[in-house]
Amino acid sequence: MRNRTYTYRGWSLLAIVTAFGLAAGLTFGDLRLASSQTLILSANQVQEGTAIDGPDDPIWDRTTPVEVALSAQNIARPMGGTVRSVTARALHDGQRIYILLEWNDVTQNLSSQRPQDFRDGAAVAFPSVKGDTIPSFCMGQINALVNIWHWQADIDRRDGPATSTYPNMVSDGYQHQDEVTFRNPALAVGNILGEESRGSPVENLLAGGFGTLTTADAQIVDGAGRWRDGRWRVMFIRDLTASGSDLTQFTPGATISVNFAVWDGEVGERDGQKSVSQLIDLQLTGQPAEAAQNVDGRPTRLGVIFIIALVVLLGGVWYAVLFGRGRTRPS
Amino acid sequence: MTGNAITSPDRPFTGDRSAASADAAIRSLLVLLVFFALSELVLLRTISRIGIHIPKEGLVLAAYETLTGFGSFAFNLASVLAVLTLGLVVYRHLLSHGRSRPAWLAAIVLSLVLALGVALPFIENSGVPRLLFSLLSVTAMIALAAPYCLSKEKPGLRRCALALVLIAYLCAQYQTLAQASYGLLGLHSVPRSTVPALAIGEGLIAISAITVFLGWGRGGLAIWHLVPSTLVTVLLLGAFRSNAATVAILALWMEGLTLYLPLAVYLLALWLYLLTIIVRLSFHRDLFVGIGLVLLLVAGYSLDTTYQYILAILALLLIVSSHILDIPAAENKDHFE
Repeated sequence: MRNRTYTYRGWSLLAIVTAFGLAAGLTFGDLRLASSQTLILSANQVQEGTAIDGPDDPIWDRTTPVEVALSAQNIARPMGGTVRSVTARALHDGQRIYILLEWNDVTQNLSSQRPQDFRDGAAVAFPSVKGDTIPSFCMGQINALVNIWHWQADIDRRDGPATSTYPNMVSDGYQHQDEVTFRNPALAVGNILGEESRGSPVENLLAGGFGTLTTADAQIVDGAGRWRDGRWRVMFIRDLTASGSDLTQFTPGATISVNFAVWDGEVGERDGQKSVSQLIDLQLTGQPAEAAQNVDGRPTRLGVIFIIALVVLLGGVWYAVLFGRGRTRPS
Repeated sequence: MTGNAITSPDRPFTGDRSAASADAAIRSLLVLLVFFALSELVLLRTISRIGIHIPKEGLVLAAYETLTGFGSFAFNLASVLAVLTLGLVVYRHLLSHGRSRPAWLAAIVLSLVLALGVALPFIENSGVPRLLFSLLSVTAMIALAAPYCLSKEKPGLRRCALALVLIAYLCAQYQTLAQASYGLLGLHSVPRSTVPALAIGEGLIAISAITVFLGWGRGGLAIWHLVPSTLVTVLLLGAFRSNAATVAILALWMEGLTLYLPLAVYLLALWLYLLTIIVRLSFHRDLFVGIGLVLLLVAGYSLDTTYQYILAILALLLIVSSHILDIPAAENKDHFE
């Protein structure tokens, strides 16, 4: 009897030791016994040099979009109410990557000149260092930077001078007004928000842990946005590779975590008050974007195989359920 | 047949050493799994993501790095424990019901889930293997929960609660499966109603928490049971009042919930769900149910990783264990003294 007890405890101990040993091995080997099961945003490849003329280019209608849920708006009443979402598409041509975001926004908020005005915005965020196989947990970690592309509606639309908002404003001349240090102190210290005419409406940022959101030295992300009928469409463009060790590097064939953020200026969203999406996987494929067209509406061969497999699996489940209902446990 | 599969005195002991050994190992692994799964949920999926709000110096930094480092190890250990435990449970299930075709079918599906779950991190995780894993996991969930929900022998509220959980998971998985299917089929539009399905599922999650309490939480409720669940709920309320946007983001990344419903709904659901867990864990009769409810909480709603899928399947298996899994009584003195 005691021998049996020791045997049972021995098996328990063996199982526990095995688990700890495997976990230690995974930790020291920087591996995970878990794989991402999130949505995949496939960036198929177009021919190098293909001109993509903004967010309304017809080529976007030939990509496979992914709709991702966003965290609810919790600032202005009524809070929540419906689940917000953003639709993402992506392409690359071997040299540059293009990402298109679409989301519903009843109002178009372009100005942030008045203290009570907040602009619409959108952002795409990647880990600076390629994460492991699970959705990146790196947001906010001290040893893992995040590269953020932040599109701002007012910069895109070249928000007019202050006099357009305050037509009766007057400013006197003052000494040294021709010197940038006095005329535009922000610009003098290198703050891009002080630039009178920025080349791109997208700001390239780096975020580490502990409140270190910083404008990257290289402003290499371009973009454009268009609002129509209560819907924004914003396109981001960047070279696959970028100089700077902290900037995200894209490699054809590789998969990287990405997530999106949206600001609705109408309800006062700004800075950390925004709606953020789940982390999904962005996969740069070598599959030609043109070949992905399903113009004749017929499923692909793989799709047919998948449907057959689905029917077989569900049939097995139904079989098990039917027989399971008829079973009675032995007394 | 009443009581829990592990302690019910009227459940006959099979006299099988293999079964008894597996039972002992399963119990030990489950206790560890609960501890480390909760640890990684708090220390890795939560604390590591609020680092941006924490002072970046001295003791706080050291504490942050220590806690998140332990959380990372806890994640690895919990993922290993989940695989081992589910594998042992499948093995135990076959020992008890090896002559039953549905039992073999369930074991095959669960084994495939485990095999893919272990293999996927080390192979190219493209669309087809990922879709196959999701499909098998959904099949396993239906196969586990449907007989329980359709059995007239089980209490109605418990069947209702489990049915709501299953339907909620199906709502969430609809987006995953539909999106992947559209990709494989080469379609260039968004699957219809994926986000509304997510919203419906999230609402069902809240309702199911209330039903879980009605089904499992009312019996044996004591005053002291209210304390831990109330503390956690008040903590969540305070965090929301302090920074609603960050809490909503954390809820989405931790549990897959967007918090689009009024906050009071989530607070009530959380309070009742935690209360049910505490009540069940304080009674050895329904230990498996309590552990299953904990693992469901850790798995979350959106199931972003293979680890969370395995946790959810294991949780459902534990909750319906009296219907499928036959574990000998712990009071059998011939084998457990």
